[in-house]
Amino acid sequence: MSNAHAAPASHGFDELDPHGAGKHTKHSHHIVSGVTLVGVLGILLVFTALTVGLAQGEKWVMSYFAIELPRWVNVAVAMSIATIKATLVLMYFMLLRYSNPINTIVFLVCLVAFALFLFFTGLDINNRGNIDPIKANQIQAGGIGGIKAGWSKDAAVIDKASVVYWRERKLNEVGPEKFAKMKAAFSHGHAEHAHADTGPTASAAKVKSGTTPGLFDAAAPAAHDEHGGHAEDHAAPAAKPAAGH
Amino acid sequence: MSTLDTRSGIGSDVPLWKRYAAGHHWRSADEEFDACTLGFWLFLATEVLLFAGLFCAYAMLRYKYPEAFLNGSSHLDWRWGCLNTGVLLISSYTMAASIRMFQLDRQAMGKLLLAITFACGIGFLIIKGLFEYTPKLSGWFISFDPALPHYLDFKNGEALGGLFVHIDGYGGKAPGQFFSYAFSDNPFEPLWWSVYYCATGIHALHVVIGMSLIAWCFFRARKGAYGPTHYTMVENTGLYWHLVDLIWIFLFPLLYLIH
Repeated sequence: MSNAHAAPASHGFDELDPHGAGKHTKHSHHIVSGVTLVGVLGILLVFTALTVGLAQGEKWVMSYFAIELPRWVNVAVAMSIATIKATLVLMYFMLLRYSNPINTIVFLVCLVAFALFLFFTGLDINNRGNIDPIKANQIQAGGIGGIKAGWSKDAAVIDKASVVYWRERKLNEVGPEKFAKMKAAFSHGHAEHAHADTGPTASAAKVKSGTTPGLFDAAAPAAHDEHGGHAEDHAAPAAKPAAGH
Repeated sequence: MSTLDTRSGIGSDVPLWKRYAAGHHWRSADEEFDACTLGFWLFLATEVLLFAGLFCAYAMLRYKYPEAFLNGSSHLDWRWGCLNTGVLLISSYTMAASIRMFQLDRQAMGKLLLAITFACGIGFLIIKGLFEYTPKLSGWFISFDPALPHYLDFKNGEALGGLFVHIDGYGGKAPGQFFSYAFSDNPFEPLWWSVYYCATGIHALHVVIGMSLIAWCFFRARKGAYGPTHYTMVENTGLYWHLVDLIWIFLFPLLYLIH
């Protein structure tokens, strides 16, 4: 820090502090006013309500107008609000606005490292298929089996995708009727299901590997390869979490 | 970090913070404070990079398996997430306000605000552990869980005189190979639960560490260790606590508000 130039001439040259390193510390003990703190808390709570409201609003718009918003809208809106909230916390609660600027520099350099980290990992994930085509696909659905179904010593070894194994086991245990009832209760109980069919909407016509009944039973892993037909739809969300930081 | 100069003040009315002398290798207490804070920011940078790994895993897996993330997220109730966001934001405020009180030498208020911050941490962990983790992992609900009435048709067990109720088939939403939930439609859903438990679990661990630091500050404050000229420990504990809040600000929408 070259604060020596800013030091008043009347103070003269300080032998013990030739570069004026101690001069800027006058800001270290800034006392934030109570009103500012309460105000920042208020804004943070309002933005929390806003981010929830907008997420619900997007859902409503999609079902009311029967349109499918691109997935990046959800992520971009949520991350923008989160970034504003984080900036407020950093500036006023963590006092970056008032403290030695070197602290801010440390934090920003850390975020740059984070961005590089995300960028190169994304680059790798995106381009693996260029060299070794099999690596462009998803992993074997639900794992490749071979793990034990439970903690006891004599637990059965799962010989298929774990999700399939547990589903079949429960079906055998309770029968198809009760199974369907339980499934309905657990999917629509307290949280609205992400893919609840609400009638003839645009989204209903879309391929949904997640919820198409029966699809999963018959499917080989290849059937879930989402990078064939509609890869563009999924391309957006990946980049966005990075933008938030 | 600190040397308490007890030579000059044992038995006197001078509070501990006034008797505090900066380490002899510093030019001034201010310089010591600045160096401590800078050191703590460097530590916070490493913490951010720890969570960066989790956010990176989230981004890449969500990119590859978007449906699994949608399905998995639909099992979370945004109301619990929102409540916990509120609890953490309020605790961040009380922490910042507590530092302000020690700067102004209002000891009683400072200690009270530290205690409230600690209580908020407990509230956060109760919501997370009792209302979210426990039912999802094991199917055991506490009897006053507001979600429980929806599932009572499938009740198949009780414990502790009815305090806990077991719902058949609800549990098993566990990470990776421990997954045993029968009603998932997505073959990749165990991946989502791995990300969910890693991210929120490591975050919860940070809440516990932050609460321990706050408790330490509280007991030191009772002895009068912090005041206008010396509050480094409270300041850095605050920075840690705000970082915990900061991480949650991003985790909440990423985990709970996907659609």
